[in-house]
Amino acid sequence: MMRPSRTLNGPRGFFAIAILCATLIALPLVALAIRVPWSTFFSSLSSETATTALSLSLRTSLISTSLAIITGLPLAWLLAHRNFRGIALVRALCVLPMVLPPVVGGVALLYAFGAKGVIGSALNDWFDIRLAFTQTAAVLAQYFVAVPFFIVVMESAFQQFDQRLAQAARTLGAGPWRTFVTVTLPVVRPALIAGVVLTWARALGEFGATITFAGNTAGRTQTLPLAIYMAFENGDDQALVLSFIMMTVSFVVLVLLRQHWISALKRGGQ
Amino acid sequence: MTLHLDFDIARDNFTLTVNLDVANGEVLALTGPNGSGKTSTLHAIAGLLPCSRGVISFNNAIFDANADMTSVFLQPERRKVGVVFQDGALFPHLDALHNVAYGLRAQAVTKSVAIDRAHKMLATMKIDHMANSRPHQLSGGQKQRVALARTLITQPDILLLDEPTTALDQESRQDTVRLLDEVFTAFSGPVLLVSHQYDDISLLTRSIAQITVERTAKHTMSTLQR
Repeated sequence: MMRPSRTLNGPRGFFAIAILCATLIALPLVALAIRVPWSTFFSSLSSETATTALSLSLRTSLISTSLAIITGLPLAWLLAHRNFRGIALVRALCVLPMVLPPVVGGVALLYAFGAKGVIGSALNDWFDIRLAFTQTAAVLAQYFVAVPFFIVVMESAFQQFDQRLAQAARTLGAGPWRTFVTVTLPVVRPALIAGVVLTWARALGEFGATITFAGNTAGRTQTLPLAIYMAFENGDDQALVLSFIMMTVSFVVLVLLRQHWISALKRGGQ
Repeated sequence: MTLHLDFDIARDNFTLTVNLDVANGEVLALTGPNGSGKTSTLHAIAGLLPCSRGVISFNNAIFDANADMTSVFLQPERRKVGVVFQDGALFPHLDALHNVAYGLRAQAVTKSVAIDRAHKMLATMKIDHMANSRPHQLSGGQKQRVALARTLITQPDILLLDEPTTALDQESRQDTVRLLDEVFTAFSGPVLLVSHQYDDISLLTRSIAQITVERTAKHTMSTLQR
């Protein structure tokens, strides 16, 4: 039985293809959830590898997300409001990591900050600082792949921001910083929250750049996705448990974002 | 004691030339076709748009000067120029009270004093009953009153208003015109008012400056003078 459609009929066969598409996405996730060994769930979760990887992932992803916010806000603001020569190139470069294979990002990071890298060799020779294969490298790898998400979301938010509000604040006696903090940021808050959550989720899931640039040392650079991969390689059920945890986190992030979009829409985009 | 305007604003294919002196206590209406540069003139005085040539000065203070040897640009927060934007431009995340208190807080007035004075200013504007409403809950006329209160509480030296009655229905327009008349009478500095409503202009002002526009195929030349 079909309900009377409120729109025109779609092309014949679309319905079946759409079902196929949704199934292909949902099936692996459902399969993962079904195979989670619930009897050993908590013992797997409380094993040392798991807790170490979890806390490392939380710590590094929170640091890299904070870095992304602090450095991404000014860049997104400039991209939205300034029209200098070469801005298109800057914008393209900043967004490139979104489409770049993460492993390539890791190789690139090595050539920049590795012991023989462009900056890394100077850091090594002058300050005896070696970044590659450290926890700092894990943070940098996450930052590299995640900050573009924040920049893209915030640039669009700043573009839609009504400039007259900032102008009004300035004529009322507020300087540029006060205006940004007390008017611009509160007005773009829905986008800010969405951007932070997306960025954090991307940082948390980072694998390719991390394993290339930071390595896979348990307790130091072995984040959750890397721990999952290692457990899986060893045929350990822990892989399922940790995967399920990450899937749940992603799901919660998505639900939070959706609620946010809806409430933002109801308030007329404000 | 006058606001002295002698400047150009030039963009790609548009030049606006302004040549005006506005005395303290004078209310001057700016008229002219859409896009001829009325709002740009207000923005240049407020410091929201730098001028490309010439001088903007008030009494002995230079706001903006662009000559061969000198270049001065006073930031908008240092000019004491009050702007009432078209349809208010109220801060959507603050209620009416905190919109009005905003300027005082920016001038480092303590929170309790700022709130207290904001209440009094809202009462003067006969809108204190809406103190806790957000802008989207206010009617067009109420928004204008809050916007006016928000500007006046900072005690500006110069008052600029961009189309204060345009978006209003007939009744709130008459209200707003009456209110503006009172405000203008009490205000000691120069007032510049952009409006399309000729009957409002004739009620509120005695002097008018007109923008004339000359267009060529590639360039638009606007001139604002009396």
